[in-house]
Amino acid sequence: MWAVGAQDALLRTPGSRVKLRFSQTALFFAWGVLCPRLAFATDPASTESSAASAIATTPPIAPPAASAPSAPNSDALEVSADSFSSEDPAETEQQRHLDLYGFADFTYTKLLIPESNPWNRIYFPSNSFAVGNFNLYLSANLGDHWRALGEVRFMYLPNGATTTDASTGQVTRTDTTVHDYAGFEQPIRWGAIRIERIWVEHEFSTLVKLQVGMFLTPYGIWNVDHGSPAIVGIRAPLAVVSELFPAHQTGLQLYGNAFFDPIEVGYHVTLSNGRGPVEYEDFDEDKAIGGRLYVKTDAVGSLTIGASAYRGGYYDRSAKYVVNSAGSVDQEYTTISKYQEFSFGTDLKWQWRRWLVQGEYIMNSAAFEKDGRPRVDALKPPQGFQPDYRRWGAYGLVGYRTHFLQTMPYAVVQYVYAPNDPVVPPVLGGQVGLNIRPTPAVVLKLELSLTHFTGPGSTGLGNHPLRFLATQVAWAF
Amino acid sequence: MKRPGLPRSSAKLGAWLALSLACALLCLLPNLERNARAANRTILAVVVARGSSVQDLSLSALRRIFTNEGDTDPSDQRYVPFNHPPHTTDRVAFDKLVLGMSADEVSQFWIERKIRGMPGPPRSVDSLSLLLRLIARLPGAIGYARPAQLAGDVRAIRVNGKLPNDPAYPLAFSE
Repeated sequence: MWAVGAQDALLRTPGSRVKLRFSQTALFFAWGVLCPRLAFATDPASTESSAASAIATTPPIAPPAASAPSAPNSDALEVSADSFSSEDPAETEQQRHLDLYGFADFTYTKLLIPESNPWNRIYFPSNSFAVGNFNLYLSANLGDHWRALGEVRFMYLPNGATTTDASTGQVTRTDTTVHDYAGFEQPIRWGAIRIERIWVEHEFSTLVKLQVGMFLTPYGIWNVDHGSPAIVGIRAPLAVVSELFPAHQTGLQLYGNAFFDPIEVGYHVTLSNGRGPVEYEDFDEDKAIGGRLYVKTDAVGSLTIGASAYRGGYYDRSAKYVVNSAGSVDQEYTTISKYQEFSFGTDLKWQWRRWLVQGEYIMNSAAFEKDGRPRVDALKPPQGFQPDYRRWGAYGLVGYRTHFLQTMPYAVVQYVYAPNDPVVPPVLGGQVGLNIRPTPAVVLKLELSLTHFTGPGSTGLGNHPLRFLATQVAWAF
Repeated sequence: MKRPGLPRSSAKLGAWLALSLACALLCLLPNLERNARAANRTILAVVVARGSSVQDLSLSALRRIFTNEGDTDPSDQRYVPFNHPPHTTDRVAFDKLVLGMSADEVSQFWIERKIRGMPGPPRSVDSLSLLLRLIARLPGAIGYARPAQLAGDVRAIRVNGKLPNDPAYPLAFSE
């Protein structure tokens, strides 16, 4: 529900900037159902008088024709938001305008395998209703080419998450039940908030924009699209889920684009802490660098071809306090895992008329340093140390958006080879499904997923096929 | 009494005349229809401030501007596009002609852009008079309106090298 009372704003003298002020705040009640948008002005008191004086100096303008947008009774500025949301393209120094929006999804997954198949006990959540994503965006134009964006995901996790003791095979489920002190000690379960990204950006020019903070790694298509209403299928391809590139990075991102009609060329360069066990600390001070280069043209539908690369180190360690030879307290580190990695990916997305073709190829190789090789937590012997590895994956998707309820039948083929995880043998998967858009903000999906393992894997799970049917409602608000 | 018949040559001439008239009518009819349709042909002029350095834009440049890709004008001033409100006749036509999208597809386009973390759609302005004043006064502002509605310190620019009164002007539609 939009409650943006675009009360007024003002036009100042020629050459001055336009102030768009919103004096009413968006009201939202019932999270997840209504679409909230909160907007406020820094200086509401001065708005009306300024607007009045501006109107007085405004030259007369011919009345609009009948089919033109109707003029309001007052001559105040009425700027309406488009569907979903809007940003202020003008430089509005004094405007502090917060946009709240997001997406969520609800999924039911049904396994289509015989009861004897061990995936019935291992794959989760199966045969269950589940709210998967509830992501909230907070976006603000800060004026003078500054922009900020935050995205958080609200989760039920860690409640219900399981950990496995490789030595005993014991599976432990996390239980976050606590007594609510505000409700006569009623038992409640708490969840968590995951920061997906939070950054501030300054645009020096179209060619140079600098983001600092935590951002989604700019590689391929799916990782940046990532929101369930924006992606075609229900689940991300395995090559994306396996994080052959880190999904997020904390650091700097420089990006921009240039137009050479009918071609657009764009780039991203990143400098970050790289992959690591802690988002806000780089244990080895070995900064990761990465980038993406893409070419886009509208000459043949909308065609984008890109290539991405990333190089960085990973270091995990344990620590303990010790008393050193000088008698003072110090910390001693023990390396758990340390390696250098390189990732490379290419991607293609082609939208022609009502057709969509997209695909990505991603590879990642890791070389462990001396004494940095971790033990493999394998449920089934032999145990050992993690070898260097090169893993890769790819997927291709073809879809056609019909006119009937904007329904898109689609098919996906994917393959992943990940020797770093001995449990999972190479996987060849396929999905066929329907992506239906009854309205622009609501997507219904139905997907049949077939997974074929090309080997048994260290646990033998690869001997058992995995098939499931999933249906999802995803919505943007 | 036998009625005197027309001379054979006169009958032939009459037939030819009738045939010629029919052909002329057949040839003229599409023209008449075309003219009638032309009377309903609505033009959308792309409008900038009178003092703007912008003279001509290609359709693809317009598409970039109205999808907030961050294009700049010849004086390196960033374009500030302004739209008509969603679902109005001119807005729907402009989106179809320039972006190649229906109203629902435009909504979907912006939802996906926002999920990716990219800037949202251009502002839409309810009042045409205000829209024209914004364009006249805000550096880099650009919008569209019907030529008869233009007034004040704004002017129409060429699109793909054509002015709005050119028969091959691309931003024309039938209501």
